Amino acid sequence: MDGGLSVFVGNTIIMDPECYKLWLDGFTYWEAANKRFQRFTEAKGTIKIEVIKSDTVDNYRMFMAMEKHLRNPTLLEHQAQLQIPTNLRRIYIEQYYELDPVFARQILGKKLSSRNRKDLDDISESTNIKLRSCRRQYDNFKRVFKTVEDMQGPIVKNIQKNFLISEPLARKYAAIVFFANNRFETSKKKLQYLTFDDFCYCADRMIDNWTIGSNDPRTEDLDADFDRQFLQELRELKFLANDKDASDQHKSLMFNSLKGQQSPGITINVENNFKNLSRAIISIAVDMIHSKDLKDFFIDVVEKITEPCKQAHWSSEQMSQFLKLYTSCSARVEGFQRCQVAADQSQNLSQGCKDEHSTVLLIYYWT
Amino acid sequence: MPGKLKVRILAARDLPVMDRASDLADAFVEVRFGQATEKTEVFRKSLNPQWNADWFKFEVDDEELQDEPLQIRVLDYDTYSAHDTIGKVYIDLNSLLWKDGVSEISGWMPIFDTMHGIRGEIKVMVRVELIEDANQFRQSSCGVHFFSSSRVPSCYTVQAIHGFVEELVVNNDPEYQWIDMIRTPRASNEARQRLFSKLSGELQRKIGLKVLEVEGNAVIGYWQCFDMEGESGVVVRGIGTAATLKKTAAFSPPKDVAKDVNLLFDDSADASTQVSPVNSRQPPSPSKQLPQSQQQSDPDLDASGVLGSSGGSGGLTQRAKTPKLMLGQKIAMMEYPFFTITTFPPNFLEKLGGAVTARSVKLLDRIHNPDESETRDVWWTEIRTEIRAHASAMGCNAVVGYKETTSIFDEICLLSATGTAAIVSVTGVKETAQTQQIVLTKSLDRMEFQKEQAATPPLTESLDVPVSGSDASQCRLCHIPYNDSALPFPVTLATCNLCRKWKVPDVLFTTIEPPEELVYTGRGCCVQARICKMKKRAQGEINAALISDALPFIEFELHRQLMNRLKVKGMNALFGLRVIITVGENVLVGNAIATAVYVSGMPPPSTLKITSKDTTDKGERNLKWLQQKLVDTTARNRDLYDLNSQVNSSVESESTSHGSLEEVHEPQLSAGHTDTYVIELDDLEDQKAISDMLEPGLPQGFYSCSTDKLPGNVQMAHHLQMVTMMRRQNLSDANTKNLNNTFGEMVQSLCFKLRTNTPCCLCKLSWDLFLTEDNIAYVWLTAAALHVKENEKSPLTGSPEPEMMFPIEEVTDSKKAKPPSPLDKRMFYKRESFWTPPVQITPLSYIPGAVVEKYLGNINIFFVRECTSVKESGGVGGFLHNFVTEVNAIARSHVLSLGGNALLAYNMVDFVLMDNPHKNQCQGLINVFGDAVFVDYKGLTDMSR
Repeated sequence: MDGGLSVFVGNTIIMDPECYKLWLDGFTYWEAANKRFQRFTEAKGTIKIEVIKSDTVDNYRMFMAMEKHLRNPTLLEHQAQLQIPTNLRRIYIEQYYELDPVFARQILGKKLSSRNRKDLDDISESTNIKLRSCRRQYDNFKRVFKTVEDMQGPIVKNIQKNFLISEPLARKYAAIVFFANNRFETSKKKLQYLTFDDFCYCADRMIDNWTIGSNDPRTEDLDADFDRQFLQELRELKFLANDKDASDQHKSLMFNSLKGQQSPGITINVENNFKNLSRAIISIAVDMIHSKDLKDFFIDVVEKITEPCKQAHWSSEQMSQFLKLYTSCSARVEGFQRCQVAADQSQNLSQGCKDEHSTVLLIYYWT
Repeated sequence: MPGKLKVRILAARDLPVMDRASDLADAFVEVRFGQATEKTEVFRKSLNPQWNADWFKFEVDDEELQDEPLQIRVLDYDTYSAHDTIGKVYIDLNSLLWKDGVSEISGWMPIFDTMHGIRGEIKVMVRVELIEDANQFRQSSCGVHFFSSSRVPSCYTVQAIHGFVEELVVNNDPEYQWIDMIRTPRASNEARQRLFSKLSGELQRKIGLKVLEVEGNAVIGYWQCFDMEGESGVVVRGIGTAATLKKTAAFSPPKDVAKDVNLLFDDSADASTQVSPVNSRQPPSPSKQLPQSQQQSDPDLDASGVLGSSGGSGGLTQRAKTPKLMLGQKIAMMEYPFFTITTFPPNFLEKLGGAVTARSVKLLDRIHNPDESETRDVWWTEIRTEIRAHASAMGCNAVVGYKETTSIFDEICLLSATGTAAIVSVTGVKETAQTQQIVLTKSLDRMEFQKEQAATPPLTESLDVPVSGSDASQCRLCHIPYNDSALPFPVTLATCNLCRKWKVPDVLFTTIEPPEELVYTGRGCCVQARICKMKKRAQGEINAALISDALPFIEFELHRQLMNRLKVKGMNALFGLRVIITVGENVLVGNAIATAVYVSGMPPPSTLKITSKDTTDKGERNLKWLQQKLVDTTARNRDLYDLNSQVNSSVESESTSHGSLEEVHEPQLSAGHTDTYVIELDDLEDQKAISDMLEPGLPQGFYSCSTDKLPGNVQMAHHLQMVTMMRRQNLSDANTKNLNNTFGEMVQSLCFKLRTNTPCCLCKLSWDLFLTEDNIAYVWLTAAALHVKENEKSPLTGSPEPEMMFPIEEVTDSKKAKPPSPLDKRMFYKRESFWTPPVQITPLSYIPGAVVEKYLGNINIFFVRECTSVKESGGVGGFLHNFVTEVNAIARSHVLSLGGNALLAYNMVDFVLMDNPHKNQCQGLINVFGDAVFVDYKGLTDMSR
């Protein structure tokens, strides 16, 4: 970054938003200067390239000075070194933590280790995102993960508090932390069609409903871990598949509800597939207690639920309807309540089922 | 024992990791004042230690309080080896000694390490309980206020201006002591910082004593410099204007015990030899030149004040008994009737003569006794005497806007003094300046070479009421101070356009702010001149002689350029003129900047004419073409700066007054000097010079001036911010054009950065130059970017052929690419609304749109910063960027700790850089000072709250 010596310091920082974007995107100062110059010329501006170059150098230097603080945004608020307008601070932080969904998708579920960081060039090549940008994002993930990993309380709030980013963005980070923590398998070919946002949605639902924090915000444990007790209880669902009576009752309850309203198409579909589907859903739920199976949650859902239904040409509306009924009817199956210890837990369980279903639904929807 | 210093260490935050194993630190704090040291407990395993220590108390002399900085050192505890230093904080206690000043310094201060920069912050509280020392033999001067602002601070009224005060102290530079060979760079940097801080305190104390002697209570327009003379040591100089100020609200000026004049004078002289290790005496009277003056120490004679007006020895120490008047008869008694301020109370100035300059090249003596500052005093005395002589030659009784600078290279020291000769109001005694006899014998020592030049053109003021000039008492402001039959220098006189009675010069160069009383046409702009001159490499006296000989040529060239550009702009006066000549190994650089403006009372500039000896067809055509261009540009500039209305009327007035008797002089006077307006076109270089003049100005929406305010029909609306910029330029080919390009590019870059803030004015634009041994120039630019509102009359017009045009690129782009997110919108929106930073730093002595509620103290800090991993920290550029950022940050934190929110009259001076790329090492020095104030932003939406 030489190109003649040029230094610029303002009492309050002067940052070019466009240049900041280019820096975040991982362009070298030289590339960025050329890009900016090009745009200027296109916009009919007359300016010497030297001016743009030096301005870009100044900006980049400023960014680097700021990066130290951006990595620790709470520090940025009180640090004395740079005077940054209050309203801009949040924007700069937000932009620094902004992530590329394509890139984040690749990282989802991976262990955020320094070994994986070394492999970023592959991802950079395949996603066409500059390596520098990949590194920044990866480091952001890792930093957020490390910070909130052992924290108590709601994960999204923790991220917001420690990194001063907006809620939607914090939710994305929560998803990344959640996936990294539970090491979900997402890289299988069959799952490739799912985008980062899809997984984000799933993670969001899971965090909301299946973790310890989701039941009791006062619980002192982390939001990123599944509620073991809940998983344990899920095992009780076994009887819905294993107990012939319960299974039949469930099935007939569903048919009754279906008959009232729907086209015959779905009825036949359900008729043919109910048993297999029900079994699949339940086995996934039951196995979630084993961390190895938990990792394969998404692949299982796709293989055992989504794909068969696809083959049966269910529309997403049909799938949605099926799952809704499946949940609501299961609650009415005799004996279902019997196995529950407390009423709230049962509610919770069915809520859990519902969310699993919406998750599945989503996965299905995007097929 | 008249003082108790109390310090409390509360906490620190964001400390660096000092222990690799735990990623934490075991920090404790050492508080040192003078020889006494106190320590806090060690706060283990934390980067955010909370000591909450009790108050540390130091019983101290008030003299010590003024001289010594409070040193707070943060260390990392180590059981087995020496504790590691994390960093230090220096706190100047002088602000706590102001009588009506702040009661404590309290806040988060950045911990600064000379090797690593800022490393976290520490929260401290400092208080001083002062028992005033009324002892007449005292050496302290607590309570004298120092203001960097070169005007009367806005929440004070001035009761008396006592005149020039100066002092210098000399010391060895720790960097060049033998011990530096064996100690760490950090230790030597710290020794330097500590010493410089102390010298600065000592200097202010001594100046304070002088102020008290004349019964003043403040120094305004205070300017302090460190002259790094290398091997021969360091010289700290301070100049200022002593005054008695009264706070507009409730403020009681310090009472001084009246003392016998002579006794006091003797005592102080004696005591200084005994007490202070570094002795700086009263400057020896220029007895050689003015043999009479020595006998005039008798106060009785002062009252008569006729001959002694220019040369009373120790004039500053002799007080008039009742300094009730603004100046009173004292002007005649001042040894040096100089005023460092540039903006004056109404009716202070009577007439302006013109810029005066004196320069002198000295060889730094190799054998140097740090206890003797006399050599330097003698040097400056010579220069001042010369300036005084220039001023009286112009028929003036004072020099205003006075400033002293140095440029040191190796063993050569170029001393410069500059100011504006003026007549200042003298109530009571009839001014006798015209009759003064100044005998200046130029007795050059073997080693001394003097070069002087009076940058010439005089000036005039017109009145605030452009009515008929019949009122003589108002009119006197705008007339030449000298006798029009015995002009001190070549000048063309005309009749004042406003009063049409008295003589005014055609051009006026001054170093002061454009006075409010004057009437201006249109608006002003910056003009600059630059020259880079090759010099043979030489040693010692020969070198000094070479430089000495080159100086007049540089001055002349700068003057010529300024004059020509002024004409092309269609203007007739320069304010805020600043000429800097920098000495290098085999190159000399002259740089001048000023604010050009059209003073309504003065005649319109004549059109420039180009002549050429080249009589070939081609030559003639070329000449014609150039001449036409010149005329066009001038006409365009008249439009651009809105000068036309007045120009016409003044032409008329000239013709109407043609019949008057006074007019007769004009042809005669101008006859010999018409060449001022003629540019001879002899070679390519001249042609280049002309094309330089035609260069388009700033991009649309930008204005610039070298002064605090842009004169003319533009209103400063809001202070955006202060900017500092630096470029490096190789000058080994001594190419003025390259240098011009660098300067031009810097301004362009600045405008580019500020493009979303137009209309914008770059105020107090100033350049600084530092030359290294291999002819590398470090060019600094500082300016305050102000948002302006134009008065309705003239619409915003940019230069017709701007070199740069800034399309509104981001907005259109983001629209094209994708609809702007709410985030983007916010980013653009913020540029519209003004954000008021926690601390506004400005080189100006005011903040537009804000009112200074209180002056809290003078900030004066010297920084040493070194880096031994330059490449890793982004090269020299990265190093300097960090350094300047840190300097600003620390200055801001000092303001905050005093309870202020702005730093006025901020100056960054004495920049030195030593770059050693082979060792990957780099060292920089910077001295900053300014006035910490609390301002109230009236009518501005403060978004920070």
